[in-house]
Amino acid sequence: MIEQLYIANAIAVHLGYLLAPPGIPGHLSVQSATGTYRADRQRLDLTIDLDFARQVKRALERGVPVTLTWEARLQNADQWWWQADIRHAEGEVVVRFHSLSKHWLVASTHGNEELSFASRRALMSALSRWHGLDLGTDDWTQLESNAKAAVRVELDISALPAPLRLPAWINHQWRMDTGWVPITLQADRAEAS
Amino acid sequence: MNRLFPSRIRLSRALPLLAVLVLMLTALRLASDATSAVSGSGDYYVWVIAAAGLALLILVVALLRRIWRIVRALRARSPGSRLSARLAIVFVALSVPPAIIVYWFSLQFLSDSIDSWFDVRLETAMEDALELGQVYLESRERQALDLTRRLSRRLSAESGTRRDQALEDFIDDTRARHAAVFDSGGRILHAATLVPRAVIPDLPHETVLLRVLSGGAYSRAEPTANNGLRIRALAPIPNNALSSGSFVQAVFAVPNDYNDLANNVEREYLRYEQLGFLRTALKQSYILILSLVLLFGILLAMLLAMNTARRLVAPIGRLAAATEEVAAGHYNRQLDVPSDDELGFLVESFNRMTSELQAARLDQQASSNEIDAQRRYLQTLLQSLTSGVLSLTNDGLIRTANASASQILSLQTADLVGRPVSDLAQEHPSLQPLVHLIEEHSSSAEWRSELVLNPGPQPLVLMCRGTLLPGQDGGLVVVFDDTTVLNQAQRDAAWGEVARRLAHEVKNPLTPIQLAAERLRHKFMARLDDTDQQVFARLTQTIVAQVESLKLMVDAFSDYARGPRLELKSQSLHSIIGEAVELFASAELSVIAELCQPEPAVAIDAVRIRQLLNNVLKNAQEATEDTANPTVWVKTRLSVKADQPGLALNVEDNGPGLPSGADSRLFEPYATTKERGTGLGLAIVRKIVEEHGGRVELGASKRGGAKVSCWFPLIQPTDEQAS
Repeated sequence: MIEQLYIANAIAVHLGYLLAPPGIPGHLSVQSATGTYRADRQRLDLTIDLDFARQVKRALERGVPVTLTWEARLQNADQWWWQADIRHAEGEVVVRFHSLSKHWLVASTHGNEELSFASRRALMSALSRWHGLDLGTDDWTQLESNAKAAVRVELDISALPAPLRLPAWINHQWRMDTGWVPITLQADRAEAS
Repeated sequence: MNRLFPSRIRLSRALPLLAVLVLMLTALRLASDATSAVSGSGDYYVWVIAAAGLALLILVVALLRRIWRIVRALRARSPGSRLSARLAIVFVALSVPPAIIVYWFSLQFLSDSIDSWFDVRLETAMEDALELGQVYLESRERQALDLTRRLSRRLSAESGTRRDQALEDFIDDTRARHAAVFDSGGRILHAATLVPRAVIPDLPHETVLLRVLSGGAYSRAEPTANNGLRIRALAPIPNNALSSGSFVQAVFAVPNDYNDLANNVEREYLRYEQLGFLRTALKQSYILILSLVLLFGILLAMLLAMNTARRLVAPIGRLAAATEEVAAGHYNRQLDVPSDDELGFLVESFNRMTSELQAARLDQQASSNEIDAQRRYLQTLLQSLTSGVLSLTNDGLIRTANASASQILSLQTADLVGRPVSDLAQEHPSLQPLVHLIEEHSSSAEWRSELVLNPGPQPLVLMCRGTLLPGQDGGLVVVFDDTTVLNQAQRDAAWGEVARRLAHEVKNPLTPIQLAAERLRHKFMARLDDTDQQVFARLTQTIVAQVESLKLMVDAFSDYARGPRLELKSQSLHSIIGEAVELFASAELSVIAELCQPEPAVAIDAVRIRQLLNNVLKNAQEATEDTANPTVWVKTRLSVKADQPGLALNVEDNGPGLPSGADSRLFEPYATTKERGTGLGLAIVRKIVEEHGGRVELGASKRGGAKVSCWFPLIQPTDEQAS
């Protein structure tokens, strides 16, 4: 009887990979992406509409760090895809929960400090605005006349703990990706003024 | 191009091995990563899974190919295919169940092990530890808030530099790390730090600020960047004229001892919580890994089973195929010895057997060739024999018949061989005497007998000899010779001798007898009376007449006995025929000549041919004496006998014809149907024809009378004449 239960369990677990219910999906989209060259660096300001799916929230509360990666590129549309990149920058934001202090911690590669938030609402509010992402020292508006800049933000499944990766690959709740969104490049405000 | 095939073969063999390696490495990689929260392989995790999937696919394809090969071999009934399939099934049946059992117990063990990590008491202890830390922090938070409120009340009563002093005093008294006064816009109005030039921390989230600005207070422990803890407390400064809406923020450090302990508790608690959350996923990962290992094991076992079965059975298959070839007669088949085990011994024995079979076959072939040569020699010998040879089985079946036998009996060899000898008597009644003779002597060891057959107008005289063959399947051999011609020659010689003696012994006294009779008549006639004279004259006349008759007969015998002193030369037969026709044609007999034109050339002795024609025409004349409109026809025509061209001379009459059974006998000397014939006319005719190298036959004419057919060979043209 126990063996039969195990067989059923094993089958169910295997099928679970394929037949896992989609659940309530999260949401991740770029509302606005603006590139500005200021203080001798190309900066990117993002406004993001972010809402983690239920399972992601549960994972966060149970100590699983969640990594959001961003990737920005400047491409020449006239070139082949492997030759198209003119400039490329990337970074990540790691969110985790500090259970003792009941704070949400946010660490990013573009800022050395770690921000903490006492509530999830404050966390989500902070994560909706990514200000001053560093794209390098070059002014992207000056590099190529017909170049196009785009940014992409996604939940990095490969950064999850190993056992969670395969279910996350399959589970719709973990699949959060904005796709490539055009960046509006603006001239240096100082120069413009 | 040919070099490509081995490469392809090697690739097809290497791919499954590569797949197995990839699967193994994948399983190991996944196993090592299974419990780690963050793995270095995260970036290529999907590639690891994809590689495992591809490897599995390759293995499955390789396996399906092997299975397809086995099925195809089974359908084609290839040698060894069934044994190979059976062995593969047995190997798989032996290897798969243990793998499944191990898989099963591993799953159970892993599942139990993972579940055992999550002990309820441990969980409670962890939660209690965390709660303890939180309680401690809350007390520190309350304490910090009290101090901060006290500071805010003092600050509300102070202004200007006295506020700075109040902050400094606060730092000194409480050992707070920072203390600062902010206006409602978040700008720092006054600040003091425990450590000189330390950075004032950012303000908390705006929601917190709103609460503080609306009169509330805030005190919370916060994690710091260096994994420590601090307590941030905010309290509004009661309203005064100087600073409306300002508030004070104080940051207190948590003791290091507590920090370390709290961090440990925090880290382990989170780890425990994380594991709890990942429990199902962990089980799934282990099931995946174990399933990969199981699949790897089963597929590898199946592949190895099929390969092993194929390798084991291959020599047997080759042996079976070679056996079939040997059965088909290819004895020179030799196999490579695969090993020095029992299978190798079997193959060696097979090779030895085929070698011996080949040698035996060569010997048998040589013997067969020798027998064939002997048989051909015997056949040639038999065919070249002028004697007819028949061999019969004990059952009376004709086994062999040579060409002479066919020729003598005027039958085809196919009509003789393979048939019972008794059938010959039924189908050819003329051969009955021969069949009876053979049947009569079927059990005689050796016999000899002469018999006469009448297959046609000429009788056939055979001298037969028979011998029983030795052995169980012996049978009988009958040898016979056609002695017709020999007998005829002997008879002719005998008759010639008789005729010569007769002519010599009889003719000599005839003339004195005749002279004596005439002298008696002349001397004593006058002395006798009339009556006696008449009697005397009649008697002497009779003597003279009979002597004349005897002389004629003796002359005829003399002609018959005369040797062949022919003067053959090419001359016109037709002119001789014309003379004869002229001589015999009269008012009482009409002689009609029908001669072919142009006249072919024949070599003849004119005197003998005239004698021949006289004899034949005289016989015809005498035969038609009592016939109304007696007529004789003399015809010539070209005729071929035994592939030899010749001139046929036929003399027919419309007389009464020959008596039955007298056809060939009439050519014998002293054989006649006439009352006063010598019986030598036709014998001389036959002799003349045979002296000319021809043939003669006696038969019935279509016109009712007799027919004498003579045939003379034409003169063969020389090469010059032919050209």
